Amino acid sequence: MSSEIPSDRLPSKLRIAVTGFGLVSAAGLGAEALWDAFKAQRSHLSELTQIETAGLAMARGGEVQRDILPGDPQDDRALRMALHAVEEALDRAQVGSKQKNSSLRVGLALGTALGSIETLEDIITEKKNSEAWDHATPYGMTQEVSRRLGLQGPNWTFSVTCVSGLYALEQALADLYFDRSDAVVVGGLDTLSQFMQSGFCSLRALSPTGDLRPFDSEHDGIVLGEGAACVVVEPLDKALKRNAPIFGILEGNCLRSDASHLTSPDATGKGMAEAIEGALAHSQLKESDIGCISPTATGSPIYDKMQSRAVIQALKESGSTIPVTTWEPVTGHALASTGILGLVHAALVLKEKEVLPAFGLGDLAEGCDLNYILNEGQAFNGEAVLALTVGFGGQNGVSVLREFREGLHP
Amino acid sequence: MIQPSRVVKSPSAYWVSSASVGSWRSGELKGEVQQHQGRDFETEPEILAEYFPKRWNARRELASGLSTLIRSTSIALEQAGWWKPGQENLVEGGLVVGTDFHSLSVSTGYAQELASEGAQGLSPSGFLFALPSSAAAVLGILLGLKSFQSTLTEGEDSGFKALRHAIDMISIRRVERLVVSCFSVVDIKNQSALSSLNRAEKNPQRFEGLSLELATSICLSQQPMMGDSSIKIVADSPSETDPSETNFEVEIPEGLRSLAAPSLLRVVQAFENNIDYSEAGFKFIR
Repeated sequence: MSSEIPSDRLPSKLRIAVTGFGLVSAAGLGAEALWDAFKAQRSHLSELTQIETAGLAMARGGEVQRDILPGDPQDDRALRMALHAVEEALDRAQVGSKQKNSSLRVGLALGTALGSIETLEDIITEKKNSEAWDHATPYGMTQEVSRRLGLQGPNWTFSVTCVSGLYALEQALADLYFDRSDAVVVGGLDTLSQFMQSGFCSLRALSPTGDLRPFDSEHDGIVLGEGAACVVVEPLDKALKRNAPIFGILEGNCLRSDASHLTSPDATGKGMAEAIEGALAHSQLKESDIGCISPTATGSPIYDKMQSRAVIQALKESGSTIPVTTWEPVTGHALASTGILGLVHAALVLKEKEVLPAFGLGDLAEGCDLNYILNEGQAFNGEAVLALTVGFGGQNGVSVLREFREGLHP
Repeated sequence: MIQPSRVVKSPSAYWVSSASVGSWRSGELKGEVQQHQGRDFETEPEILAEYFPKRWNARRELASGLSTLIRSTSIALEQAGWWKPGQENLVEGGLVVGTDFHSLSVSTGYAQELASEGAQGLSPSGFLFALPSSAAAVLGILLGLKSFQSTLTEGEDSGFKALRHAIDMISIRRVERLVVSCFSVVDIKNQSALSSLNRAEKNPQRFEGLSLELATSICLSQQPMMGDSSIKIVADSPSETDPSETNFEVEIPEGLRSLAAPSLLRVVQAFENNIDYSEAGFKFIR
């Protein structure tokens, strides 16, 4: 099969539907668990109990409790999270998890910062033997998920810090354009391990208080979470043909790098502003069509302010009026699942037609002057959700999910 | 180091043009290393500041293994005419990095330090460079490649997959031009991990006694570039044939030929030498 693009399949002419989503987070199994916790304004951050915390400068986070995670306890936790999120997304998309019995060609594109790093730790400390290497690498995990679920389309593994899932999404779109797959499960995942927590401690990036307060005057750093988030994407015409549920139309996805620092963003917000403008240009939507902005809410002052600046730069006056909400204090900053989690959240906003109040936000920090929704939620009033994702290395990603309306999308 | 310096153009808008290649070898291939001015970025980080003015703090050391990648990428960019040493302007374009085992070396070292010394006093750079994307982040900073900065971590498949991904991103018009850089590191630091990995794959001795530090880079563009020859590179579906078995003029130990950087190097040698490489899923249209 050649990579030449058929003339009727140029990117601008292929509409991509999100037909499924799945999630494992500190809030529990399933996307609804996150929505319910967010709606109840219930945080799942706590003292870490599942990793060795001796010597850690900060030991709070959002853990996925071992006892709720399905699958073989001998399997790596990252693998079990991935399997659950992928299966949930496939079930919701009515694709079914056992593709061997299906005529659909389903691909898998995963993004992860460190993959099954717990297994590496266990091999080093001789808690596991070398056979565990089978799934210890990021690509080994992707291949294993494909194998177990019988996904026969192409599989890919990206590692671009917290925007990993959005790079995986770009490749998934190419696989759909070139008709290599009928649908692709796109995901992001990372686990909270001693390796990860100690690494962020060494970078002095974590909140010393252990409170995740994004955009708040008391924001003082990141509180990590873990989990896996997945969406199923497929061409709209194919989704309609098989009567698949449609949770939104992916109208834009744009990635830009600041190329300025290994851990900090360009504080001016220029890179993120370009990503917002690029995603909106792909979508051909107007600023006034955006009914909700969902930024990455790490609680890191520089990232909080940068995103606020970027929104104003890119969206001008509209930037200060569009409702902004943040769900991350529910689960913690879930690393490479963040980008796809933003899309899952966007799908939930469109499904529930509600923008829930930003969590953990009291007095706004100086320089964070967007229309953050405080105290009470409000009805979603618009056509699309703009999800902003930031990552180490000055990575910026923006995706636009638009409400699906019969007859509106050619 | 190979220097094909082939500058090609593409007759149609979205076809990919191949521009140039740079590679840098060390380890067992040390006899063939050509060190620019006899100096090394890793041991003399101030050279980085000369090569990439205003982009690097001369006091900041470079993580082990990245010198090879930086050399290779900068040679390719220079040959493509997109960059020259000492240039202050940022390079317009994107970056795709394919990495196999470099981050495994770093993360194994970090995990060993964590296990033996505990969580206090760990080196931040030990953690940062355990992230496979940090190599691309360094290249991005040095060269200012902002449009797109992707990292694939696909083990031995990273070379071919990085090239496919790059071709796809240009073809769907996500980026007009980019440099694909693949690097492979097999050394004493990751030998143990690689042996374990290969034990799990029932081939534990495969890398024993071998070492390699190789990066290969290729510039791709959507638009025609200067020059009078033209090559289009097309990613097809790969066949079942193992392309590492193909006998090319690659002076790399047989057991290492399918790693990321050697794979990309073999694609490049195939089009340089008019060799059909469709078995690996790439066609060249001249």
